[in-house]
Amino acid sequence: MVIDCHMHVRAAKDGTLDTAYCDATIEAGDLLGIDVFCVSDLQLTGPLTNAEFHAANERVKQAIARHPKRYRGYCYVNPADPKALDEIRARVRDDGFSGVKLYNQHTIDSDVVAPVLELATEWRIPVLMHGGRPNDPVTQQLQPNISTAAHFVRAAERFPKALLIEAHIGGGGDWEWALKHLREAPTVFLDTSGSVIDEWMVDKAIDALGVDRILFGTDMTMEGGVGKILDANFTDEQRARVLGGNFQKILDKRNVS
Amino acid sequence: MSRYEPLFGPGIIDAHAFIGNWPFRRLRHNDAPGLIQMMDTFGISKACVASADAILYRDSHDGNRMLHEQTRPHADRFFLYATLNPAYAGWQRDLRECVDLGFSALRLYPTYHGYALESLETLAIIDAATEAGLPVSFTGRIEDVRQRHWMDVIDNIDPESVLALAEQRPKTTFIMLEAILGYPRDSDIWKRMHALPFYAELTRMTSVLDKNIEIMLGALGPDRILLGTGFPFKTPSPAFLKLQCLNADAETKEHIAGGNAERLFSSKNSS
Repeated sequence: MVIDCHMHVRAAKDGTLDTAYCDATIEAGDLLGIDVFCVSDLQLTGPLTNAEFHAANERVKQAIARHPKRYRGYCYVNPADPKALDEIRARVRDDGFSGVKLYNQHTIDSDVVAPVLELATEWRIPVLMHGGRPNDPVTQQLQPNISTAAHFVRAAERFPKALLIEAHIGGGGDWEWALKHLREAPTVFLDTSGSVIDEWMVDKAIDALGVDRILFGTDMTMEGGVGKILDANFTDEQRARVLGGNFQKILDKRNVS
Repeated sequence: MSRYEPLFGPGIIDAHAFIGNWPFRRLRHNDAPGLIQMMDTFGISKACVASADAILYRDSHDGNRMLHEQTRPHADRFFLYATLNPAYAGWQRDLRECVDLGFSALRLYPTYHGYALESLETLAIIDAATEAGLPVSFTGRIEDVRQRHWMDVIDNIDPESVLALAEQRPKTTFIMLEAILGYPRDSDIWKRMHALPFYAELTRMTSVLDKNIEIMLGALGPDRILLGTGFPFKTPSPAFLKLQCLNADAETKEHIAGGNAERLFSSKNSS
């Protein structure tokens, strides 16, 4: 089974699920051979409020209801919000969401994120965290609290049993810098998504981290996301692990009380 | 999901490839044998190739000479882009040499080469290339700016600024490589592009979700779109998956896969 571990749904103008985009994603999956999308709905600007992430997660729930065999959900929260843990508990336990999605409000090693990582570790669910190391001033200014691979290393040292995924090796800047750091964090996974389709990128990620820590994702770069995996230099068995086997193993660890 | 199998017949042309080194990131398969190996894997008969070295050499023409030397034993597999800097000494003579050597198109990097896109130098070399029968190409970017080296402070080139330049030289054939043309179906930009000999390559476009290749196809028609991989900077399969996923008939896909490039890059030699 091919699982895209990093994909999104989005809101229509009226704030409900953009069903056309939701269906177009399934159509793209059919064309490209992607069976399941694990999705979140991101509010990309400003301090995310409880009402905003609740609405975002509601849209994910709607997408799952619309295509129950094709969508799985991440619960997106601002970890600084006092209701963040309640939202995660409700979405994961009651709505069947598979994990937690965090963006760039706080770095993953900060104290404010720690309660989320504690709960996710206890429940054995993955935390997909936006990450990267942008070298350009525009992105640096827009995302001052983006988690770099160095932040992931520190978070993994603090929570060695957490199922942490650094998002999009191809979506956040200097990926070679990221690989150098992630070699030192053997419990951190890395997803392959993002619009950067540099030749040699996935092969270098595998060389640095090993096949078992690499997870297939697109983050909306569909042909690029699939193509970079098809071109990577590994066996069919290794490719199958990256395309879904590794992520399925993570999902199978779930122990929600 | 299995490794890509060539879906198209002979005649595939990669309109966007490089040979050479990039000082900020190690490339592999970046010589003529490496590129040919990739082409054979994907059933590509010819690649339109530019010198990666020429982007940052002070004297870009040394890159052109290296490119010509490397590809000469395999001349039937390549069309060559001549990379020149119109703000540098002696470009007129270098352009003539490129024409004599059989180069098929001109490549300009105004940002890397330190002159303004809308400068007199740009217009002068465009006019000279047009006189020689060469299309003029620009790349929107070489690497994603978010991962750039601290010495690489170059921003992307906006395709709209290239379009504005093209409108000043309506008889020149322009090629926009590696840019996002994500304009709405009813945008005037498409009408302006359609009115000119303006070609676009699909490295940064998509056939699914936003479907901007399909929108571009509707706006410009099947004869203006080029398949390109960006290899060895970029991995090649995505380009083919875009063609595979594109909602278009087989004839249209054959145009994009190679027919348009064959017509475009052969025209100088046949004239």
